[in-house]
Amino acid sequence: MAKLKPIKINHVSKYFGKQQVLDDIELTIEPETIYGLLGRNGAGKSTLFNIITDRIPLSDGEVTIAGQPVTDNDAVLNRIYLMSEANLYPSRMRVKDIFQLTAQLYQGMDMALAQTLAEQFELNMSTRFNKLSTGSRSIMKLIIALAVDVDYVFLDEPTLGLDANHRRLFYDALLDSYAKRPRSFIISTHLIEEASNLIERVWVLQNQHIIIDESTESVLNKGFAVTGPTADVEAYTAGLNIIGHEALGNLMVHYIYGELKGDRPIPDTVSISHIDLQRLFIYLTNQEVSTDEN
Amino acid sequence: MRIKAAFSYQLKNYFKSFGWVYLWSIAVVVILPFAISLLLGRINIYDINDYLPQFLPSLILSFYLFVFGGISYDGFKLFIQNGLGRKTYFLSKLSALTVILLVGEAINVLYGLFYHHFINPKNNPIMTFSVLYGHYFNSAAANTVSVLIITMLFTACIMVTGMVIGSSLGLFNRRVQRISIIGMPVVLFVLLAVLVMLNDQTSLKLTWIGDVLLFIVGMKQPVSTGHFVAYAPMISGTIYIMVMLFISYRLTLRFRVPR
Amino acid sequence: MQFDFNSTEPLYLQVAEQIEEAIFTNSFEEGTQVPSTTEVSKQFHINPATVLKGMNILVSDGFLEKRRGLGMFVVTGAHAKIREKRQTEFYEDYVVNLVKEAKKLSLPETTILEMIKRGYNNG
Repeated sequence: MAKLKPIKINHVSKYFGKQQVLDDIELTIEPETIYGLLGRNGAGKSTLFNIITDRIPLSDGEVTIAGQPVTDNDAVLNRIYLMSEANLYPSRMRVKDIFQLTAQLYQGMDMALAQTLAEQFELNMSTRFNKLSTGSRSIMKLIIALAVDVDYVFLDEPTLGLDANHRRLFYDALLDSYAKRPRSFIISTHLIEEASNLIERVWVLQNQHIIIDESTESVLNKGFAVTGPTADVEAYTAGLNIIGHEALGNLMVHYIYGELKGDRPIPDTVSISHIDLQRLFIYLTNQEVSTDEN
Repeated sequence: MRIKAAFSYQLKNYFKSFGWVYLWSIAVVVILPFAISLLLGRINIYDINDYLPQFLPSLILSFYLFVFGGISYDGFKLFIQNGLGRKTYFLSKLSALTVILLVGEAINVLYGLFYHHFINPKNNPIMTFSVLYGHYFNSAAANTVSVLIITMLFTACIMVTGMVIGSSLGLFNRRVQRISIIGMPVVLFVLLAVLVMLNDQTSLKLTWIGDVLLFIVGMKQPVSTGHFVAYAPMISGTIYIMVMLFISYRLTLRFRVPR
Repeated sequence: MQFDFNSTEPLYLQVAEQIEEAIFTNSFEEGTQVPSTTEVSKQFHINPATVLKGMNILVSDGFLEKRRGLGMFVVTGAHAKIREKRQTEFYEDYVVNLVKEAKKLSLPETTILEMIKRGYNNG
């Protein structure tokens, strides 16, 4: 196969009836990159994944790879795996048979890895799919996601229903697998903390739009917490992009997303620090909501 | 397209389920009555003729193709999860079921021969449609081939009907599906009853419906069974199959998850 | 007042600092191999690209070297180089802050010097 082409999401919109879920989404998924799709519950993360993987039709725009639309295009679809909450496997099929059929319908699967992971996760491969608990179903799909031979792996809330040990195990396995065979992972989650260090590029989906599409590093570089006496903080942050604030008596924290004014003197009483992705996300997605409600 | 992998996957599963349906049918239709008469101590009056109908394999095949042609959405779900689109799903399913149809018909002919020679020689011909079309041509070989083609087209019509019903149902959620599965036969029955009633009343002439039907099957005046026009069902059957396949294909392209 | 992003500085810098510290404390000895990008990545759930970026800083600083097909090794003399580097940075990193804080507290120069002497002798 020639060098991999990126997946392009061009002006994609989606309506369910009259309700708009996605509006003019523009994204590029490069090969061998780990993406994080962040958005609050109901923001449309799953819908976006379902559109990219051709599970549902889009209302407007197109998803292409090398100029070819993905719709019913096996050459592309067969290089993509989507792990989601939807249970599309035959309910009475045994786990090992599901592994087998995956290997057959896709272009192969690392059975040794699947076996090892099943042991690590204590997943009984002889159990029928409908007898698995919700957590075990997630585990089974995650094992397939890591072992199947594809170039783009979409993980929709991968660790939902997994306990802390299994979550850790999963990220171990993911990074191990990524190191051995780099490919793209697109992870949607609202448990940002556990994933933030492995995401190379962040997308934030909010109110039908992608409001952030940047490298994690530059996103983190733009997030600040300005702490100090209310008057001093307000004087310093005037005109900056304030995405949230917290007050404790006269002590004020302003959360900023964007550039600080380099020429503006920082009062001695005020301290400035960076904030983590989780916090940044919370304030960024709150802001949009509150401006809408006003 | 990954049609080859999809096709071999489908074919394997269809053969498996076809085998099971066969076994179960034989168990229910043949072995069960035998076991019952054995239990009741009436084995002396058990006659395999009563329990091994000549049409059993044809019935099984038609039933199988109708039902499995109808199961659409579950297959699509599995395929889309495994990176295969609707087109591949439809084409691999159609080709795999066609193989089943050919194999099934071959079994039917062999069974017909077997039945004709060993179980009930005096009765019917090897292929049922011989009764209608078996003497249209002057050559016996041509007649055999044409009846064979008509038989296969007829079974294929049943199959594509199942496919259209299944792919229509695939667009709806389970509730609507249940309602239509129960409701449609009722509606059809009522419709039929109304038609029959109307036909009885001489004021309305609905005989054209009958005429069309007769034309489709190739019955010509004066009626003489065995001499129906063999081309008529071939052409009408082919047209029906094409139309149904087209509809089913277009409906399949509209499948989505979740519904 | 100065920016102090120590706790939340970019991840790749933290990675570089952690490895540098490990070399300085002889946890990673000179001439030996340091853990691979993958190992570090897996251990701390950090994207391998980030880890590599951090390691590359140490390569350009001359503390680590790439050996083709083998991995990253601690350069001979890296320990001394790190000490040298930290010595030059000592003024910026510690003295400037110390003086600034002392001035805020109105501590005269002599007192600070005295304190340093005391700390030095006790240490």
